[in-house]
Amino acid sequence: MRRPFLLTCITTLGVALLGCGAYAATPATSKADAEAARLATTVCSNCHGPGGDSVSPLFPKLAAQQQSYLAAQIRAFKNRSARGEPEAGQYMHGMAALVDDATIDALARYYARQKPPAGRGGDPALINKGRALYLQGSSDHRVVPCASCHGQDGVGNGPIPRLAGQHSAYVAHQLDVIQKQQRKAPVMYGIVHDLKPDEIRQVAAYVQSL
Amino acid sequence: MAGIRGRLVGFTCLLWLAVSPAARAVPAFARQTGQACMACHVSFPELTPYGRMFKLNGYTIGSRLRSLPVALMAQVGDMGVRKNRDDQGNQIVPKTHSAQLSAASLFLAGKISDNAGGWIQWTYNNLNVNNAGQTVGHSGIDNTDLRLVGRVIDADNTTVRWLYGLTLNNNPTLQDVWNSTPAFGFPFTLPPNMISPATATMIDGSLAQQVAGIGGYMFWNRSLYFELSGYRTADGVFSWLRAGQDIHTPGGVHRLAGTNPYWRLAWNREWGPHSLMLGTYGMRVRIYPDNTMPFTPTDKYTDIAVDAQYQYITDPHAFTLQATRIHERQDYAASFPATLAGAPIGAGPAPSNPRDTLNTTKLKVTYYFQRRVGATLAWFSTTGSADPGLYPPGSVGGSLNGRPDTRGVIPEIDYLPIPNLRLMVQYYDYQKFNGGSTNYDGAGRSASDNNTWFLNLWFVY
Repeated sequence: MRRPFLLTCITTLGVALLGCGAYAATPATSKADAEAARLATTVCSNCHGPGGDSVSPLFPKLAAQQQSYLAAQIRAFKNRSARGEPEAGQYMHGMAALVDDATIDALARYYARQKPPAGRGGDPALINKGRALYLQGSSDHRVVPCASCHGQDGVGNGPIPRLAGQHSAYVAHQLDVIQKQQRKAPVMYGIVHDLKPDEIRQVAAYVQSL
Repeated sequence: MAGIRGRLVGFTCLLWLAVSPAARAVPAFARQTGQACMACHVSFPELTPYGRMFKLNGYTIGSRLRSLPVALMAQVGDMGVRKNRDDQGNQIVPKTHSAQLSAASLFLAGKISDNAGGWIQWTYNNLNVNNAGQTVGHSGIDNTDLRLVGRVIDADNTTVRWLYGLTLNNNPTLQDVWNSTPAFGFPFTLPPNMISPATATMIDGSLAQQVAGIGGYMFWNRSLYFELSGYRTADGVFSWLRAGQDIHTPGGVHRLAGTNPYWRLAWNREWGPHSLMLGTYGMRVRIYPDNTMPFTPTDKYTDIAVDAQYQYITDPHAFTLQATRIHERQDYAASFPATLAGAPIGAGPAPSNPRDTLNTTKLKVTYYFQRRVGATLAWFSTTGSADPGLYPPGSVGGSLNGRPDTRGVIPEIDYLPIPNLRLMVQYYDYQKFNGGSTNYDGAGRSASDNNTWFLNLWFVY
């Protein structure tokens, strides 16, 4: 019987390639860190992008995110305390169930040390209004300055998330679900429940530009 | 009136069954990942960018299920043809104007390891029409895709630079991740036993569940995709990939000679909520004119296609566009000389020309709001060489002028009350059928007489 040449070539190529396997050149500091790097690269990156720099505004950028904030968020997905958020059920409950506590901490470490995402410009008028709101709060004192917690440059602090460089559509959506109390964030709800839709778009455009 | 009321009652019952607590589960891959259908699908089966990566990763994302990774699918539909009688007054499409279970599928689908996964679909066709023209239930294998995958990761542990793998499947383009290619292109489901045009290109479903293909693919930097596969008739150790096919009746299936190449090249870009793909695919097959006579000379078909896909996906809006153009060169190296000599090969084609061409173009745009309510408009066209030997006159299925030219539009409206249930209304509006608009078959039938409406309930569990 004549050996199918094409099939032979493809099979040989495939087996040779598969033999290479996945590799990571950087030595891992621990088993959990190695697992976190593997998961971040082969699973999380499919939505959150390489190193947490996502392309689609449906998925937040995780690069350089505050470590303790990120660990708390993943834990909230894992124990379903974030169950009110539509996206939590659609995407994250299942993914968070894959990781144990040590890997959650390691994933947070992994993303915290990634290069921060570059800010992206937009409508200058929108950004200027957003800057004023972010740095000074609303003129009628309804809303306190975002910078008072998230920092002048939007990098966050510990349990307070980094906003700098985040997708504006994602930030606006989060403010919307916090206002609707679909996302449990009592402190943030108290601050933003009076934000108007225009103000949400302005501040979201500003933090994206940082 | 009573018929309409009966259909409404039937659909209401099925809707109740679907939304009852027992039906709130999702299929095997969703159970594996813990994610919703919409993570991978704009609306099943059209894939999102993440859905494409899930497939290219060999269905390995998530945890291997401890229970048997099975899923179910069923379709119940009702349809009607504008003129469902031929020139002799005989009914053409059976079981119209009544709600019918058209098909049910069982899937075995899931992750095997971090480097292996796949799915096998077995389908029961409740409205299969046998050789005697009777409508009888029939089951057989459906689409199947098994994969082995590997990854090359950058030194900084951030990027999968090369994603590569092997696929074993039984339908050319089934393995593709863009919905501009035929196997998972629009329409995603058809009215059962609808009146079909005289011909289609080989790569456009003509070889489905008759062949076995093994291929290697590489996706570089989520930008460039390359695949090379070889297809052969699914016999020997691959015979399970065509289980249920009528392989013993002359003309029942296509039988390939040897291994036949399939290729795919695609450029992919994603930015913000947008994604764009531009690509080409094709295959060259050698086919025995009669599938029961695998010792004769062969005819050769070369399909070369270009395609494109654009998606804009946000919450709540999703807009998608797919287009493809397939050019087929048909070389009747076996059938033409035999026909010329007055002795066509078995049930094989009897072409009037030594070589013909066939061109198919498909364009489809879709909009979904909250992935719940959607509308699609599709346009399709097939043109080709005039060949009275291939397309002779004949009631309903024939062509008076010997041309395969067919053209029309398909509007569709979808509603998904829950993510795993789709209610759809589809309409096939033909402007041209088998070469003509009026009296296309030589028996007085117009293309618009074949216009078909289809009301369907599609449920996955």
